[in-house]
Amino acid sequence: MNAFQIFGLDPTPWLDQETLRERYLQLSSQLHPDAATSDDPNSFTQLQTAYQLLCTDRLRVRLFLEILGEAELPTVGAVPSHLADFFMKTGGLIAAADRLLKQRAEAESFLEKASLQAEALEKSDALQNLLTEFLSTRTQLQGTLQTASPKDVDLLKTIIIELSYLDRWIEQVQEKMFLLVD
Amino acid sequence: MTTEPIIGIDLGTTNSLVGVMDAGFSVLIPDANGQRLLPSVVAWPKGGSKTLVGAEARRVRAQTPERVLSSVKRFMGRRYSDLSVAEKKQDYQLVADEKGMVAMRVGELTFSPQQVAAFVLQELKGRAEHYLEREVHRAVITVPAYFNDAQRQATKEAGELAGLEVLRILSEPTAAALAYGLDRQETHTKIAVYDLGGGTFDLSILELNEGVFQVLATSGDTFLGGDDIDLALYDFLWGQLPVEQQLEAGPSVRIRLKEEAESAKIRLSTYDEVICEIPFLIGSYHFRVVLSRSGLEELARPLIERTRRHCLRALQDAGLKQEDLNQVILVGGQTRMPLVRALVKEWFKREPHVGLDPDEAVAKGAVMQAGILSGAIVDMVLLDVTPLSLGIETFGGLMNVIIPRNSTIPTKAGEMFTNAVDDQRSMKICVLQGERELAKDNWMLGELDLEFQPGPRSSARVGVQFELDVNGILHVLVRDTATGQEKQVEMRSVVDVTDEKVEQMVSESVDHALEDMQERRWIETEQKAKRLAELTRKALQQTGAELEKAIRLNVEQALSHLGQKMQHKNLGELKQAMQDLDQASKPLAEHLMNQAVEASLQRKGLL
Repeated sequence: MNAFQIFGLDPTPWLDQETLRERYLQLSSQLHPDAATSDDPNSFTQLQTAYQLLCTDRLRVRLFLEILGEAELPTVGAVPSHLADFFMKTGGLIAAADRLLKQRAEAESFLEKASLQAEALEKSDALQNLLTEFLSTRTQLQGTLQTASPKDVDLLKTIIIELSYLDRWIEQVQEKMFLLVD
Repeated sequence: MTTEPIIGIDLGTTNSLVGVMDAGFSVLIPDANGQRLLPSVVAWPKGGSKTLVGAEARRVRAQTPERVLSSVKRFMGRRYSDLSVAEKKQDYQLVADEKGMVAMRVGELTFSPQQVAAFVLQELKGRAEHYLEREVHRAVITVPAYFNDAQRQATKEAGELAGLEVLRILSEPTAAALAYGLDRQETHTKIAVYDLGGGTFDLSILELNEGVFQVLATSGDTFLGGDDIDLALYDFLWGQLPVEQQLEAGPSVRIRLKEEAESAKIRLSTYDEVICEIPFLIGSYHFRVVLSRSGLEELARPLIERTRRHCLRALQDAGLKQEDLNQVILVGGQTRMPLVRALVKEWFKREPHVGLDPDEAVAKGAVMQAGILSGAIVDMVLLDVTPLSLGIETFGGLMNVIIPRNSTIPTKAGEMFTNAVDDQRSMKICVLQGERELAKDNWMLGELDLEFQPGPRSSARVGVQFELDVNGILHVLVRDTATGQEKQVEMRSVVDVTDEKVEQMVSESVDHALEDMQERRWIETEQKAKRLAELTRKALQQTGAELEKAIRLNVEQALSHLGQKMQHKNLGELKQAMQDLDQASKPLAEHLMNQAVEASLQRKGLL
């Protein structure tokens, strides 16, 4: 059974998250090992994997294309040109944050730590701004996905690639923001 | 009731509790004196063969501190070599057992943390049996959400040693959420549980729905709690002793000061100012110090600030913002501190919910989970997560994540392995838990040996399945796809010998080149001193006239003193001068920090 089937849904590139979540909660309460109605010990873990897949836009679209029988699924290659600016910004900021974290780990005196604190706050703010940009770009992409025709395979492929980059950058930026908080 | 009851236990760093479902209610069981909290302390007084547990054990601490074990939860499932210098400084003796795990020595006897915890669990079990008038064999035990596999395993083992089948290892904040939300019948309610106990901190974010409570994300620090605040206050009180009294003070003096520190901390949650008074502390010396709440807060703030990043991470991982939360719940004795409440309010931009008893909520939740398992509570399941990512070490020493943190448990994931060269017979896999990029920075769970059928390169196929069960404990299944053979494998624990090796290497190099070493140390220190001086000058310029004259004078004096010491090759004196400058520039550092925060607020247009 594929993820759509586990949830009793027709394969579509876009899914309403609220409906999906309602269904997930309902199935979870039936299939969890503590619930008396479950018999197959694997059904709960399969449900979890399926939910993760359907929740994540790029994974769901990829599965949709697979089911369509699309032979050539996109591999993440070069950064799409209109995201190149993001790519440079992310790389630069993350390298700077790493340098700062290393310095902070080695800092011994109060003064040294304090003077690094100013920079840490500055970097955190810059990362926060970048994150906000990423999130709004992702929301836009999700909008495109929602209105895209399931037959427009090329568009769906582009969306997968762009979301792959965005998801990864969001994760990287969040990780650095976490480490910068002292 | 015909079925055998299941008890719920909160095994805390400082205190433990037990309870049971009774007529549909979760009831916590008191001892003969009406006390529900059992101090998690075990003692073996000198001369006596008796083991003391709880308040009795704590009472003898001042006489024989080295025979009284407390806060052992900190050492559950941990390697001796992983302990920090501060952690090794206990009133009792810590040693490494033959596997390199932490153990405690009391006289001739050696105990593992599990064994010590088992005494506490046994006491609780007895209490429940007395109350129920029947034997008890099954339990739910809570652990900090951020406990790793080894710490969870150790807790389970402690239960088994106490004669209990541990049906579930339950996360403490999840238990608290159950105690908070079970009767509310709310739906799509998102809450954060901020749990700061005696030795650990957890922040969990949950969504409460009718019939399903789901943990969305959790983060924490298993080595941060109220104990650390006690210790900071104790250090401060110790510093108030005149030097001649410090020299005369024995272990029992330290214990009495520690107890005073703890009690003063608690009193300062209610009063703005308290007097710490211990008559005849040392001979005829009376100890007396007036403490203010703001003084305590100054000591505690840096510790509590360390919880902020975990709040941020859990929110990030749950994909939520502060304003998406419907409630922030405080649990754990340390959340009684007004400073904790104020900071939580600031970070989450809302007044936290303080309606739960911070000491009892977790135990109540454990009892409710026991009720779910026994069938006393129906139509309710808890979906919990694994707090740490699980992965394996790849070629090149990196960690390859197989099950990401905050995955709902139970969960499974598989990896396929093959032979890299012709006729390779076996392969070693190192299993890790943690969030760091480099394998060596994560917690090593153990090693697995995979066996291959002989054949040309890339012909063997061995699948490894990692399963995190509903307790967050790992099981590994190995399947040879060629032969179809499957087996459950035990991981070898990895004994850490590197520390010893490093020490040996260092001592050898000292023997060979003592002078070389001294020269190098001087150069290193001198470089550090130069950097510090440079930094101080820059900071003085930056702050200009805003700084108080006296402070500026102080810093300048220490700076010129350091300059003088750099002329003479005396390592000790140079280090002292650096320390002095560091101390003198503390107000300067604070000033810089404030400037930085202001600048950040201005950038955001908030000022």
